[in-house]
Amino acid sequence: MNGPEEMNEFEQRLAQAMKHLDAPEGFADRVMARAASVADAPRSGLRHADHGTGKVLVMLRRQWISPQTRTWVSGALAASLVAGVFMASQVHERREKARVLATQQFEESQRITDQAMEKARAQLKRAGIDLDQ
Amino acid sequence: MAIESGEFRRLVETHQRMVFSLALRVTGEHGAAEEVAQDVFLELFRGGDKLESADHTKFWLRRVTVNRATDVLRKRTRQPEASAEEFVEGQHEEENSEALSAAVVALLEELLRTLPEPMRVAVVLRYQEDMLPEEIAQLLQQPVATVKSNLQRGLQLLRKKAAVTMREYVR
Repeated sequence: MNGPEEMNEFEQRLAQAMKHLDAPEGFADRVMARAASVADAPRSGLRHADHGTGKVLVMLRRQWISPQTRTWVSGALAASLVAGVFMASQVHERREKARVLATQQFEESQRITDQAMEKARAQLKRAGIDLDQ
Repeated sequence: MAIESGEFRRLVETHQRMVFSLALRVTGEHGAAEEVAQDVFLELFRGGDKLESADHTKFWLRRVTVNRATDVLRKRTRQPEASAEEFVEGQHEEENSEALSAAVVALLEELLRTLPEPMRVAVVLRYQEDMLPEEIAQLLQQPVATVKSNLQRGLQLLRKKAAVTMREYVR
């Protein structure tokens, strides 16, 4: 099994039977058509059906972005992330302050209402009407 | 690789028989084989500039074809029962080939399809591509002993099956 000269008869016949087969009619044309559409895809900026998202990203990274630009983009992305976190914390703080203020206002209004109710109850009691009975 | 230069078409025309035959004998299905073969050439189109020589290109095409064809084979949940005629239909033997009848060739192809994948791949590379076990091992990134074992077991299985179906063929 180390060379054609050492093949036994069965192996030789097997090798004879396993000749290369013709590709289907028009195969090369179909490949060329697909290759042409792939070649057009980056120029049009559209994703071709033959590419997965990952492949497109890899292709874009390899073909269009230099190492310096990649470093710059990475830095910009990191800065954006930090800014995003900062803005989110600011929004959270503003909302917390508004919540505390609203609670205080509600409690104050409750207190005033209770006082008014108590005053009215006392006046009615003096007039002989007792709401507690 | 630029289409305009004609280099890519030349490569397709030069290697399409090899790539398609490998894909067909590993997948056992014409439709899947054409799809695999087209995908292989598209991959060549995208990254072919890195290939340094004709030998390198041939090695690359064989490896990628086998990898893609075995992927298809593994993804297939059910092995479809294709008839022997399917192979005969797409097959145009060289006029000067030995007087092996189309029926015998078709039967051999069908028997080949019944081999487990690692044996089938090794047998196809050995007898279709005339590659030595060492070359197959390099292509498949397997130990030579594994390749030799797959070849030996594959041949034994083929002989046994052939003995049943083609008694007159095996001596």
